[in-house]
Amino acid sequence: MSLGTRIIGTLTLWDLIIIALTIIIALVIAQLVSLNLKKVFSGRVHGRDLDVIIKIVYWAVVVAAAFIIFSQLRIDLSGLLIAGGFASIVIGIASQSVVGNLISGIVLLVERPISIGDEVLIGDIGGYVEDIRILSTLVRTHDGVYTRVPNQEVFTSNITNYVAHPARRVEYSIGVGHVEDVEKVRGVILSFLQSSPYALVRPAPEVSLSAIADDRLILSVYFWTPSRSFTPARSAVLEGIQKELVAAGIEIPPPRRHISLSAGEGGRGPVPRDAPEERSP
Amino acid sequence: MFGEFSPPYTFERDGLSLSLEMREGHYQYRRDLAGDRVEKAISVGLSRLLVHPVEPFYTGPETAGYLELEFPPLIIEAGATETIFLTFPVEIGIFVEGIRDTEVLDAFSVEPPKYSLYGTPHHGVITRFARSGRHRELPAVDGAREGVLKLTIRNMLSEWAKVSRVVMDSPEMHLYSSEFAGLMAVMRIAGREAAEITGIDRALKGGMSRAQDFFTARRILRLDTGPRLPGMERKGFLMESGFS
Repeated sequence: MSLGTRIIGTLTLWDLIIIALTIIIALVIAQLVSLNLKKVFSGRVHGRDLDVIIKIVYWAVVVAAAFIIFSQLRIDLSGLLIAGGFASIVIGIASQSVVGNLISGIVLLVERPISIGDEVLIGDIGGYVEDIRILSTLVRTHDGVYTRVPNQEVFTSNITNYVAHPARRVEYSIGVGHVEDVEKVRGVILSFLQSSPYALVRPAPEVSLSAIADDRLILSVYFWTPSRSFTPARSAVLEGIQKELVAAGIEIPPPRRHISLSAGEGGRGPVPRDAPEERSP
Repeated sequence: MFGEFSPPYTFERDGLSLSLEMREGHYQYRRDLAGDRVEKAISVGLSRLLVHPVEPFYTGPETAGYLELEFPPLIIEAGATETIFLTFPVEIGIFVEGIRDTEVLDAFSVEPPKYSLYGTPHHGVITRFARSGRHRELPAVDGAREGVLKLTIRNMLSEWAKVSRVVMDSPEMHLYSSEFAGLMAVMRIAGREAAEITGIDRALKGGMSRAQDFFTARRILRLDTGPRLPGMERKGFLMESGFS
């Protein structure tokens, strides 16, 4: 019996071998792809979402194998393909946002610009990432509101991840009286930063005179803090610096405004104490 | 101050006061330190109180997983090996040993913590930072504040190397204790800016015993990575951002 021998109708032995091999290879590929997807996305994607992705991929491989088998069986699929094409267009238009979210979700899971627990700003939504699902990302805003952001929106928005890097820089502008010794002020602030657990030793903190304003000297203070401690660090250190400056007798002048009062039309207004006295001729 | 104690227990020194006493049918734990008081009630199932030094990662505002020590520079000849002793900050862990298991009751640091960044702000790691003297022999330390690291430095380069920093990853820190905490590690200088730090699971002197693990998670990690034999070394932390 040769490979060209007809077995069933026009089907030859070679056709049957090809069909059998296609089925075996398709099943092996589908299993391998499923296993690898499970390995790669396990822990990154919810179990339920992962099952859906694996099933979609598995059946896509099976459908591709079925097309090869149909062509081997010499079944004309052109009519089915045309109908399928139309159906695909209709389904595609109807479900484009779902597919867009799904693809964006997969890209986000691979690229990982954000992780669960991160403090982020997605577009104009700021908060902590609670969960990253296959179609949407859940954010708990700073005031505790549950917000579901479609993955397509996450993907196309500007994402600011405040904790992606281990450390962040905190900056303050601190004003002291004109008569204060800048070296002394710098020493008090640096000494406090060196003892504070929030200010990292490296990169080293910096204090410099940045401006001489009308009523005060402005010092710029820079220090680095662990990203996850940024919010408590910013207020705790500022509070500490204020206490240290007061304890060292350094003046933090309140805002001052000089008001000149002059006589209004048709009458004598109040005369400022330092204004020259008006004399009658 | 370290060891296993049966209640009632009291300890007082340099502003630190610890006590465990029976009150109103419960054991009452109390810790006073620098104006701070912690009180906890424990059921009578307690059999022993364990007071052990623990790695300096559990108190303070930041949870660093690395210890960074800066010391006066040491210049080492190509191919040479040097052993030095450094001091590092410790925290004190208070554990209660019940009938079935051991639970963490309290952890505190006598010294205020300080942190640093090893590496760049983009790819570095947050470390628990301390400055240390460089000693040729085992220094005397206050066990409630400091432990001793015996560091063997091997210069694998074909040129002299200047060393003034060491960074250890927390799984590399195998604490042993007696009246103070002890650690051992090997630093292999493998490049101009790179050195590998490996902890050694062995006491640095006789009479020391393994300190209590702070987190059960660490015990699970050890089970996962297979049995650990005393003196066994494993691949350590790679300092890629310099050591001076």
